[in-house]
Amino acid sequence: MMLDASEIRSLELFDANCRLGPGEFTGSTAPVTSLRLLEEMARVGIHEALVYHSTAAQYAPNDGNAQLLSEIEGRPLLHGSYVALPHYTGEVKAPAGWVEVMLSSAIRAVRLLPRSHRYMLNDWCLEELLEHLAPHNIPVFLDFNRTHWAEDVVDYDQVASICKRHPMLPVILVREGIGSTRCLYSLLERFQNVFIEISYYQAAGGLADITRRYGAERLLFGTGLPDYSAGPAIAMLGYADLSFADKKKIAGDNLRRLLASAGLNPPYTV
Amino acid sequence: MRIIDCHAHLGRFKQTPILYPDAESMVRVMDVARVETLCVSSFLSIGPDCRLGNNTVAAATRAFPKRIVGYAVVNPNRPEEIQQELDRCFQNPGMRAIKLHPAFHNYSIMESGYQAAFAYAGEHAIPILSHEWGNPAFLEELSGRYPQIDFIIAHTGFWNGRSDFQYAGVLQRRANVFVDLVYSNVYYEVLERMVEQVGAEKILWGSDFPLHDLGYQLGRVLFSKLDDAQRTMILGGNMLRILGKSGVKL
Repeated sequence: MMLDASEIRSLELFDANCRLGPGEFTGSTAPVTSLRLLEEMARVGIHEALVYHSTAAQYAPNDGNAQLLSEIEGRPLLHGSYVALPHYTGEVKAPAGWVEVMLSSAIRAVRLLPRSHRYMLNDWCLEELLEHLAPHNIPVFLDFNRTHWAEDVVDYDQVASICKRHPMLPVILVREGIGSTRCLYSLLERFQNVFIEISYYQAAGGLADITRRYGAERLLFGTGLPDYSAGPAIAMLGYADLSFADKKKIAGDNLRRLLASAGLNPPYTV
Repeated sequence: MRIIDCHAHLGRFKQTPILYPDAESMVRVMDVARVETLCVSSFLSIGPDCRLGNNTVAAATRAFPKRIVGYAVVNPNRPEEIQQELDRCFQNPGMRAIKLHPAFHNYSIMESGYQAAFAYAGEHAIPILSHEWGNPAFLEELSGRYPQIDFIIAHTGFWNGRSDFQYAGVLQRRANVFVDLVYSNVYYEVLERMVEQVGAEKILWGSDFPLHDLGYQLGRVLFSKLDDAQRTMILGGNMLRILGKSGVKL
């Protein structure tokens, strides 16, 4: 079997791990503007994407979140995700106000970068924010800036603690690698609110194995664009030993369901 | 388009579970992805026990002679064993190349413990794939000293596609030096830039299967902006040429 372009398109891919804006190590030809990103998505067969902004992740969340809103305006296939921080330093509003502004901007996903932004996921650092996100079922994407699967960059104890404290809060681990498999399976076993974004999870047979053990609902398609190529994750999903229905869940329907649960509804669906 | 994987493995791996640890299950997955042949070394060989790992690879090549080609692995920390182990391995017609793993064996490729392996490969015109090749000047000297050996640089030389590609010069100058694509990180358009710098005829596709997913590693080529002729060379044509020189008829 070679991959069939029409089959890829019929999966209605929804990229859960995609960024706008030039990054710290983005090359000059990478698709960093909304127009170029949409062109690249069309070239490889991705229908829509959940995007955050490099300025938010790699400079200052407030600045980048505002930039994100302006760059996705009028782009119905790009859906925004805010980058958040603990608020005690005054860099961002206190959670009640911050979440209210986010919801009013039709943003229904949050990305946390504790390693890059140098804070902890422990309750003493992040609990107020999570307490305000949980009632709205806002999916929380945890990004530890992994650059290789053998790096020990994730404190899974902290992840487990969040999942335990907030069992209704969807927690998505971004860019997990094969070196984390033993921790990931343990989390998937114990916490129903843990999800794995697959852009870097290239364990041979891994998607089918996780689906068999825990259900396709626990996996979200993502690419890592624009720093990384989209093709590998698409091909991995296309070749996976899974039913079309399960592939379609991973490809985008799981993310659509999570966002709908947080209040983001069509017309974003295909 | 024929797909030949120049860099795969066999067995289990200490850092993560392997879901296809034997040749039979691997061949089933290869059939789905239309991968014709894997060139494999054992995880056991690049780990603690070369001899036992090489035996499992030899057995796999006997069970699937058209589908699996074997790499013999030697450990430079036990240099006195190298000649004998390579002699033993290459008694098996399915063992056709040498794989070296300086990182796991914690021994620099540029140190003396590997000299016996280079001499053996030179004497018998056997290709060598190494996880790393150290300083490009070392590979330049070595590939000049042994023009009968095809040298394969693994893992794109760990190039990120933006900084200077340190092996570009030796790849351009030496007809017997190649680079494989196995790398967990697939930076945006790194393959297109690599083709620009060294040419598609110097690039080999590999997967690290069954550690990494065949589909994932195929995706870097299938979704690239290369033309069909370039993809054909990279996915299999170049490795078929290298194996053909070693007498492998696939």
